[in-house]
Amino acid sequence: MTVRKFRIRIEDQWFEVEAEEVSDESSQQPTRVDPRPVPGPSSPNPPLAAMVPSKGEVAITAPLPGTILAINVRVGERVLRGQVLMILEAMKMENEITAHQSGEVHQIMVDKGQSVATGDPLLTLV
Amino acid sequence: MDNNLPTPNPKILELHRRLERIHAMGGTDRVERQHRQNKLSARERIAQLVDPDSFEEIGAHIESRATQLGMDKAVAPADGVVTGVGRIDGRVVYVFAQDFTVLGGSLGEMHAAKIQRIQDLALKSGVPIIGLNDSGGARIQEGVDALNGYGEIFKRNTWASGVIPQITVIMGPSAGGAVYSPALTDLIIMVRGTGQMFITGPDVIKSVTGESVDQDALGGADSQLRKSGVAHLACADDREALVSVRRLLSYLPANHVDEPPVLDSGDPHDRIGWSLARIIPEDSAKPYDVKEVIETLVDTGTFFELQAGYADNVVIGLGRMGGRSVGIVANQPRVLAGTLDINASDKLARFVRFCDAFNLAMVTLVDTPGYLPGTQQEFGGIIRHGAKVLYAYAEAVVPKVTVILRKAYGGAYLAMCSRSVGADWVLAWPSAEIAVMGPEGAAKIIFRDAIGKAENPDEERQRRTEDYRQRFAHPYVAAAHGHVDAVIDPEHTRHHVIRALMALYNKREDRPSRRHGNIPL
Repeated sequence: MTVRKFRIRIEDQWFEVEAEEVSDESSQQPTRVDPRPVPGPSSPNPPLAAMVPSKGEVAITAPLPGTILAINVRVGERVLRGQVLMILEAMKMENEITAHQSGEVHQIMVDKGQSVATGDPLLTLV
Repeated sequence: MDNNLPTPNPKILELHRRLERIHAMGGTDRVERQHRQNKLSARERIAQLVDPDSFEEIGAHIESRATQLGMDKAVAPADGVVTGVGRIDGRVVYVFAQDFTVLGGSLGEMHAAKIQRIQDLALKSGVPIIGLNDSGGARIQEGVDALNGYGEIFKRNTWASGVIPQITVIMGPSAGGAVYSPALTDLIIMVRGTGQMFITGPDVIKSVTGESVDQDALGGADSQLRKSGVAHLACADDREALVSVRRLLSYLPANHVDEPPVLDSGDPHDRIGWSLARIIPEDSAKPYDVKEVIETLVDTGTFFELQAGYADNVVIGLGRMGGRSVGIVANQPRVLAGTLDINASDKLARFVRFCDAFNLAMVTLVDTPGYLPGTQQEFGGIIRHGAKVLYAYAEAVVPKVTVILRKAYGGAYLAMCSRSVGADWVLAWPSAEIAVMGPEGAAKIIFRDAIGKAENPDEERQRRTEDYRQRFAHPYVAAAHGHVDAVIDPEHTRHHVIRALMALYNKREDRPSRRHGNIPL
């Protein structure tokens, strides 16, 4: 029966939470939650923050895990729906990452050669 | 003056008076409101769907028997659903159309009984049934009897499954339990803007999970087509949806023992597919659009894709080859590298079973590097879902022709209707790579020691990979061992496939008798 500590951020407030794994034999004591906010990291991790698209932005995410082979667009460039934005090498295939809507490239979150996981944001369009 | 003119028979006048009231549905105002919402009325929809003057109504006089909660005063012509039989291209079909102008198309006891009645007739007669849904859901005033009505419909949907084609068009709301009759049918067509399906609406979702979503984003045609994979087609309006039903039926037999209609367009069987020799890029890591291959192979203009926009790493659809209906399945290298994942497996397996139920020969075009790796897939049960593909192909008794275009590796090769799981005829292009896995992976495992001990492991790995590629990444090992029947020139694929299909046309195959198999759902 172990009690584990977690730090959870809700909006901009950090909370410290203790969670206890409940098994059949373990006591049914409720998990203690300290509702007082605790100070968070002085500045949030910049790349993580940059990955969250703000309102009006649409993120293009990696459909499967792989490596960025080429980036065909630049920030500020107008792109059309269906245009190839990047090439993602995965499963020994050069997968075309296309724009599912027209717009302007607002942010590019990855570099050539970078490995990405499924769902990672690659770039945003506005 | 004109004493010979017969006096009108009051009883016949009474009939016409009653019919007039029934045909007026919920009244001019409500019908106009329906039109303003870009919706046709139930009777207009049926008229659009079936051949002119072919509709024979059943149960027009049926009324609700409910008396509680104001139902004794309710006026409900035909109890809110028009039911009957008509013809499409001369072939008999049963139809029901829910009438939103009558009590919001809500389903009461008798409304449900009317639908059950034509379900029974369609099943007995061995002809398709088409449901045009536009309903506010269960008629609350009729309580448990309305609910019972749904259950009776679901049961009949299930009994008819695989016996007669069942097609649903969602032309208005379909919420709560009402969605399950459509879900039990073979094909769901939704009208954009007006058709909506969901189990719980935006208000309930908001109160339970706090998520904000509007009706269309939640259950509109595009959401149910692209996100959930519930719908098979999304159409711009009622007319387009009804035309799509007619087109779908042109590929389908009336029932599971009937043959699909043959419509020879005159497209020559030996038409050469000039573009096919160049469609596969020399670099096997480069994608291409498999739909171009499909369009080139089938009779010109006959490919009718289903579920486009959902799990696009596999393409499914109906088409014709030499005039005969076929079901086409193809890996799409442009999407997710053509891998099989959970959603693609479900889409593919259900389509194979649909084709097998309705005597549609299968043409499978293979170019897949394998099942999609990842924890999401494993935890989501790719084993269970992927197994459906194997099950569906192995179970199917219709003619099955497989063409291996490029990659066919490992388990995914087997799943894509390989010889071993039951393909009747396997063709391969010279670009085919049929092996237990890709050269990179295979060389790494087989030559692990040699690579590890080499002075320059990277170079050794590349040399070994290239060696493996030369020896195994082609169709000739599989062809030498009889897993492939012929390696063909891509330009002549259409002719080879049609010849195989013609040769297999009278194929009969049985499986052991049993109650039913146990497909891993």
